[in-house]
Amino acid sequence: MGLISMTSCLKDWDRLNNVDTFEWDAAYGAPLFNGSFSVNDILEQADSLGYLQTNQEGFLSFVARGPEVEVINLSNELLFLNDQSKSGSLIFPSPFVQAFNNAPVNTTITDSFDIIMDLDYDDLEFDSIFFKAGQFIMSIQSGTGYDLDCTVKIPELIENRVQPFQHSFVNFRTNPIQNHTVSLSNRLANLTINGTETNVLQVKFIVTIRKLMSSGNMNNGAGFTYTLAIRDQQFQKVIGYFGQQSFEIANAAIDFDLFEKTLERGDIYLEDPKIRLYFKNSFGMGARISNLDQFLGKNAQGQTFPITGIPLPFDIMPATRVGEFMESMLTIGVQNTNLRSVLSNRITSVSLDGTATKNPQGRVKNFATDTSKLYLIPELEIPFYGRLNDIHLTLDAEFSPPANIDIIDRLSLRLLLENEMPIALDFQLYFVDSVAGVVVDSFFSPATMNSRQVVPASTVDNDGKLLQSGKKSQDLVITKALLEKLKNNHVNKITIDIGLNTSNAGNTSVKLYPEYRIFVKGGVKVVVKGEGAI
Amino acid sequence: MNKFRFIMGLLVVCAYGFSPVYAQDLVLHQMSFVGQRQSLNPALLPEMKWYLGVNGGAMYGNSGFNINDIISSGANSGSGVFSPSRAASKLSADNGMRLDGIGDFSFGFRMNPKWYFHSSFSAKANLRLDYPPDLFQFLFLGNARDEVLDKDMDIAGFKVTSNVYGDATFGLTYQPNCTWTVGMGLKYLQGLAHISTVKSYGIVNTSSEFYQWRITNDFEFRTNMQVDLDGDRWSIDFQNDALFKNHGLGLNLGATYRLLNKKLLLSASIIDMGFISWNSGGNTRIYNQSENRDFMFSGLTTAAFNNTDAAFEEIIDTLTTLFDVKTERTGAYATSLTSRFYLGGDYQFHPSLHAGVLAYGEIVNNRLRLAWSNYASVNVSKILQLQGSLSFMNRSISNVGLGMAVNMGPVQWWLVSDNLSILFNPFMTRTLHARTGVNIVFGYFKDKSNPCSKYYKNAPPPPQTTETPDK
Repeated sequence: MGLISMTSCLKDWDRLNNVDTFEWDAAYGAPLFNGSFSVNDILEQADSLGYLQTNQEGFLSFVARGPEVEVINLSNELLFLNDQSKSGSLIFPSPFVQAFNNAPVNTTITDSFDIIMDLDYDDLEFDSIFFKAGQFIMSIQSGTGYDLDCTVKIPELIENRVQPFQHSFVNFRTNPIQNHTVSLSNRLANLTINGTETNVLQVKFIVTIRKLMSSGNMNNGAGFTYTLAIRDQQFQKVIGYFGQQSFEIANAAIDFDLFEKTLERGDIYLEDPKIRLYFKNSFGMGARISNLDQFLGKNAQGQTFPITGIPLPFDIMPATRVGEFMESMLTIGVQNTNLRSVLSNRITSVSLDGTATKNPQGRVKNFATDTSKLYLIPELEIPFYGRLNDIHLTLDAEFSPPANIDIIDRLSLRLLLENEMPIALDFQLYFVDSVAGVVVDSFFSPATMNSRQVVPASTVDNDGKLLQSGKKSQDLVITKALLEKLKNNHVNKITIDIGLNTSNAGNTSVKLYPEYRIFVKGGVKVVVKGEGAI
Repeated sequence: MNKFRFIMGLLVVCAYGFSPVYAQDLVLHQMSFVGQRQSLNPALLPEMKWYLGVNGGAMYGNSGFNINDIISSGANSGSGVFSPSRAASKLSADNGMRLDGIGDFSFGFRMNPKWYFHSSFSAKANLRLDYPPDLFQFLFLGNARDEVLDKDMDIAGFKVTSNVYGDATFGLTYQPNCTWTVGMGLKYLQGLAHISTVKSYGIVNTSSEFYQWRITNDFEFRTNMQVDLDGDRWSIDFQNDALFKNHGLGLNLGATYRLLNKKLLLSASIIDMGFISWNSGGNTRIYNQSENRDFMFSGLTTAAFNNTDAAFEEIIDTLTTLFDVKTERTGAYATSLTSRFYLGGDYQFHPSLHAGVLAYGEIVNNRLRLAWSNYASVNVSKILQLQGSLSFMNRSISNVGLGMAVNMGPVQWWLVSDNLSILFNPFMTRTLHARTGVNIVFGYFKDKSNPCSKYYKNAPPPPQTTETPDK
């Protein structure tokens, strides 16, 4: 009896010391998520470059806006101030010579002489220029040999808004050649005479000559030579007429990937897509767009699709005062254009360039400052009002089969979906291997349309307002056999193919309102059963 | 004999109908050589004129599962399989663990033919811990089985009762005739330490909708010890200076009845009826003061998808707020003893051989727990008494008990165990029990002042043919 007891006891201890396997038979459940996604949440995932907004009618629009483009370069294309130069000889008139010769010794004779400096700014006609920078260069060479001083005075070149320009050269008897350079910074040049003639600057020479004992008589034809130049001009503000020349519109583009992500197949019909070209103009000069010769949609494969039927010409309005940005908007909709069909080609960008003409209203006064700009902002708006027929969205997610699947008998994901959108969702999950990237299996077999899981669309009224949401309850079961297959094929990715169809199988246009949500509740149940090694 | 069968059958039905089962001193109850069995039924007269002795014992019982339930035999010889699911599935709705210890000095003597006095002074400690089967079933069978979905699983329904106290019992046995015997014992109790659960639950309800969890909890304990919680630091003061302030009273009652020509002895007793009033001054209530005891976890919210780390931190923070343990002093309170009862039927087949059944019950945490024992006892002359038993307790039938009492002149040594199966099948064992003692006895089988000695096992023929107490 004792021997039997001892043998039994020893066997038990032996068993306790040699526990090499375990067996488990349990079912564990846990909630995974309980949330909701608005239409915004979902659509924001569909495009990384655009944004959503609620339009005036209350439903959602997708908006993609291109970068702000400076249409015209101020210094190179619009207001380039050429260097100016004027040289000549000032010959004393006979009365002046006569008076000098008749004058007693030590007498001083003074007289003034005007010249007009014509400025050549090509087709630009300036009434005034308020300089930011530049130089006014004067050079005078006296050949008389007399004791001569000369003051140069420019009444319409005003410093600090009130002080006319003036500079005096003295004692040409000992310094017959004299130069002087003046900064034009913060000087205002009025370039009109009598309010009609432009691009002229009146220069006054005031000459003072003293008759010395040694001075002989002055011959007729005596005088001096001068050179006047304006260099390196930069303006703060100009007023005038800037001409009617044509200029190129800088290239503008809108990039978006909404259709690239969603339109793998199927048809989309948009009721009211629009492209808007916003112009912001702070020049006191209008322009007219007469030609958009490169207005193209382009898809990811590089194919281009011209957008035609654009309502041209289009006038860009001028600013009415300094500091104002006058806005003009050119809208390209579906009326008389092929925009709808162009967008259906999975367009990922729209670009444009063309030409415009200055001053379409004719000869009017313009102004510009050194900060004046003409901007173009292109914008695409797609109101979510339309029809979808078998549109597909593909999402990839990393996936790793559970490492220790020996004891997992089955894994069940329970999904409760409530769809307020008037769009039916159907989906299929594909497991993709890590080596060849091929589909190992589909979640719902066979992988046909019939096996796809469908979340019904909501029902809405004529305005697209929600009447009743669509509901779906689904258990997604991964069996042990499937788990082993996924593990053996080194599956590392799940591809989720989501199909979208609007009401009436894609034949009725619907609107997406921002309050629409998709409610998702999900939990997982893991059935553990079997034995495994410790 | 029909009456005997009816009574035995009734006891069997009762015993097996109320499982799980605890037991204590089932063997000692039938050891007629040993005077200390009066502590189990004050009407059970010892077979000596007087006795005096010391004894001690301990008992461990677990009605939940044994090691064999968790580690089963593997396919290979000598190998084991860890099977927690199987163990969890074997748990009943009522599982508990019990620890008892006793140290005892006792004596008794016959005062006259009808009265017997006995007394004992004991130090006793006991622990009753009920643990929820839902905890193990949650862990090892899971929370998503069809049978538990949408049902409450109480994974924190622990109920503990523990007392350490001194017990001074003074008892009398009255034998009006050889058919009836009644006895009683009055107790004075001195409490030393106590802790018990007032309420405790932690319920997880897993919904069948998408397995979301609803968690509710609450708990409260009370103890006579001065317990304080400062931040996360616990301090316990055992209140040694207040040891003798916790007074209590108790009562043991018992009776026996002989029939079938005095060969069948029916016995009944109820013992440890009483209370202790805890007045130590440091009495403490430990409870959950959180106002957020109800938590619904339905998974990550939409916002959490973008920041799962923060989301899980929030969940953990929320779970943490379910528990806000606080301690506070309370006034005096009284606790009852764990009352127990024994019901026995003993039949004397031969002057040296008797056998019977014994039912045992106790009420712990408002639950009645029963044990059942079949036994046979042999008196080998006046020197040795042997008893063997097979008991059903702690949801196990394989409890083989043994009792032995040896008389060596005036010195008696006795040893009892309700379960010896640990010696040959330790992994099947749910109960450990042993108690032993040494007595000085006088007047053994020579208690001529007892007119009913002739009905005792192995007793010599009485000197008188008449039953004087009946007269």
